[in-house]
Amino acid sequence: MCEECGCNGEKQKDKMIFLDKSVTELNDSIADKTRIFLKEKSILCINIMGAPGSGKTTVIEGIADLIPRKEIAVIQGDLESDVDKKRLEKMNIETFQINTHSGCHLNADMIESAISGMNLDGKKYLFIENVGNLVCPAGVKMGQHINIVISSTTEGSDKPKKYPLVFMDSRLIVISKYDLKDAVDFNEKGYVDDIVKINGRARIIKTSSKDSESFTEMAHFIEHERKHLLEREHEH
Amino acid sequence: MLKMHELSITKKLIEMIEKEAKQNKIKTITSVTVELGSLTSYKKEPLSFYFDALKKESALIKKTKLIVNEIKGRLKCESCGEESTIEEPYMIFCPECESYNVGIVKGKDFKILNISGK
Repeated sequence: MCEECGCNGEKQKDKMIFLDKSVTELNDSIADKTRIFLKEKSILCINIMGAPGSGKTTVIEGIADLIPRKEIAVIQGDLESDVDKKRLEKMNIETFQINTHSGCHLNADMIESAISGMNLDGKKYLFIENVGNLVCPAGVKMGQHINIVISSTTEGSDKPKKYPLVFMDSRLIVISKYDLKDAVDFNEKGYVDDIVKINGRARIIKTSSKDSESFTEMAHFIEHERKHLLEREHEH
Repeated sequence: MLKMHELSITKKLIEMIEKEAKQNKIKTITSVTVELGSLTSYKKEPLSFYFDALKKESALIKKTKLIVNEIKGRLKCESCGEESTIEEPYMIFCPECESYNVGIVKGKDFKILNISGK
């Protein structure tokens, strides 16, 4: 008797099963369903990514001053607390809080479950404010139609070089806290040159919380993106 | 243990290979081969670390070797048709005609290619 595997004489051979299956298959299939569901409801779903403190909530507040608030809903992702949810609710914006505890980004099942608890009637825009992080949310499908990165001047102009993946997949890059660029020696030319190398088709918009007019371009951008989404015959 | 980015995806990987093994009446998985694209947010070292830590908890994968085939990203130019490899630092435009009208054709997947066992 074989001492290694206990077989009688002939050693049992391994059998190989060919799979070719994505490990993110289940997440991606939930994301696909959400994306199609939201399009059918004529809602553009926008995934907002950015470092902690980059101004993600401020940008949503800025847009909410320019677009009817009843047309906006927000899913807030944070490790802990409902600080940002309270900020938005003060502006009468429908907001759902997700606390991931130690989870570093939001997933499709979290969004699916959040949506089932929200009233989206009459909404045109659903913002997903992801967990503050420039690494982990990159490339994760949740049901969003577009990705936006908020990148503040105070973080420094080297961020596209250091975190290319998150910039690569985004339709829009927002340079926030633009009013502080001189105070922090923000190298705008270097920053824009790096964005162009990674994602030459991305739009770049500059915003400042001290200048409410600076959000106008962003409001127009999402209006245009929603129109474009609704015109597309098929949602891939 | 720190709940790092790769922990939950490693758990998902183990869940999937255990399911496949059971369906195929495999009692011990000898090896699992995965393809890991350079443009995903997952990296080989933490994946292997969590896999080795978690495999002790399951009889089915106790002795399983995780083989990670790292694949570099590739892009295809929609203007001139040229295909090229995306090297670090990443530059997402056609090196041939410098067009930004390019599509990423490889490097964004994390896939299980095969499992073997008895």
